[in-house]
Amino acid sequence: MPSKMITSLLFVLSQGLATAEAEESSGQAGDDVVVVMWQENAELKLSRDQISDIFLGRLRQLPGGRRVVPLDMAEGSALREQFYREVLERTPAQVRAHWARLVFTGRGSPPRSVDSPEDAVMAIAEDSRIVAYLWRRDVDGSLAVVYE
Amino acid sequence: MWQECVNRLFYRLEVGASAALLLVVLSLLSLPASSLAQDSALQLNGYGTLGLIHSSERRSDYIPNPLRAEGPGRSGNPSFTTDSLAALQVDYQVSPRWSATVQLVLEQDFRTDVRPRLEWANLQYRASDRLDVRLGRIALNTFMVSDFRKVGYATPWVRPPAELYQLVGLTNSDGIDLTYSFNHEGTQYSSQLVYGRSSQTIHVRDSLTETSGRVDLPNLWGTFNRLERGPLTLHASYLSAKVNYAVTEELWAGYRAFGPPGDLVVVNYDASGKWSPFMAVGAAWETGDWFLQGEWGRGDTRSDFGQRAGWYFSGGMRFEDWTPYLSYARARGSEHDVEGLDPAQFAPSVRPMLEELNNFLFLLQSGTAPHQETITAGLRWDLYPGISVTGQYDRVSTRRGSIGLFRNLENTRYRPDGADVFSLAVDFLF
Repeated sequence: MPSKMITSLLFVLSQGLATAEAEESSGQAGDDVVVVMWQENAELKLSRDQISDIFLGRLRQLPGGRRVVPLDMAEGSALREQFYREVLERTPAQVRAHWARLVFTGRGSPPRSVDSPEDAVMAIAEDSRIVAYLWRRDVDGSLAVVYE
Repeated sequence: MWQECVNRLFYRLEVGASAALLLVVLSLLSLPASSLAQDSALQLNGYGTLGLIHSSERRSDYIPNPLRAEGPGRSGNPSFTTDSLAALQVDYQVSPRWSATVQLVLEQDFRTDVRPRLEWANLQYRASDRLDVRLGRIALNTFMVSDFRKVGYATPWVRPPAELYQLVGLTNSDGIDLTYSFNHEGTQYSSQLVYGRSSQTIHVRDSLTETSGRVDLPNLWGTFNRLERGPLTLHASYLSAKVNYAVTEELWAGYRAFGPPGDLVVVNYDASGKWSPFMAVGAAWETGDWFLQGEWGRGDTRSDFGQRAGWYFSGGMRFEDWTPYLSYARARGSEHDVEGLDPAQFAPSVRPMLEELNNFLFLLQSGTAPHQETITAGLRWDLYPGISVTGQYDRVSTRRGSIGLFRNLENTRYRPDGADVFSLAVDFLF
């Protein structure tokens, strides 16, 4: 029956579109930057202000006394730039100026940095205090997402 | 005597440290890059500025930097040495609690020669999570950007507003300091207590006398406090220093030659040996897109020279890599006029000499407690992370017949009105 066929065709089409959209958004979600820590922190959720303070050297321990140590990606990497732009809302130049103020007054020094997301995952496995940022698609079972 | 010993010690330390640092840098540069890994105990960082400044006022020098003896104008236009400098800092983590920092700055000093000076050289002990103790040459955080005022890259302007920042030209003190800092629910508090001594040699030059002398602060103490929460920063400081002005000895000797009335002038105006207080407050609001900042400070010379105050207000907006900014700054000395000795009361033969002395007294006050205001417009371009180029225009105007920040006058009677000052600076980090 033509009308039934058209209805089912429309249904299939709409499903197809929905799947395509889902795929597109999960692709975009894969390009989201998320902040992660070691898997034992599954319950922990950090605010944007806390992430900002941690990566700008202002916060070294969470309420409750938990020590946190930030880990950066190498300067110039797309992941790093996106993290600072979206989460901290700062340009690379502003970040450098911020650290210049702290380094040249003895008040602090920039976080350690690694070259790849794999290095970051390994670093977290070695030190559970580390807070790092990754593309969502690189998050594996050993990590917990604390900000997204 | 003790003063001389310490000064000579630090001078030798400077020469020794410069030589040692040069050796360290040269040997480190020859090592493969991995040896200077970020988590290594030794960290090397540097900053610098290449700056050009031009002043439209030709009969005197405009000197917005308190450590310079010359500036653009009469001594040459444009000036390359007023704003240019290079600095190297070595941080060494001796152990989890102990660290050492040395910062050497290469810039023109009062004697118009360029030599490296120890800006910092201290040992830091992390007593606890909240308490740090430092011993040695330490930065004085009198104003909001005092401890990084030489790091051009870290501030939007070519130089911090001179009307305020030149009121306390000291950038460091030799002694001890305690810093108590902690973070509570997103707000960072920091309170610092400093005790030490400092000395600065100032070079006063005009057409008749070339006086160069030391301003010694054999004793100083201060408290510097900061509160930061997100975009907001608040700052409050109090500094008290015992000051000995060796530079004015000739002037007082001149007055004393006139007997008891001259002695009275010296008593009224000589601030040597007295505790001179200075206080400052500041606030800044800084987001990724714009900033607003203002500071005010006031000091008391504890003499008939009176009080000296300065303040500024500045704001800017960021458009991609460009940050235009505007500032207004004002320096306000005391309102009462300087009175030396009335020449009419003395024999005609000594009147010219007395007039010169009175004039010099006025110039001294004018220089210590100037009246001046500046309107600034500038543009900063972030060329690349770590390098910025800033162009700035300052419309400087003196007030109340003061010489403001103009020095090296063509003759002692000359009073500059002001100047159009153009500056171009390339700030970099390495």
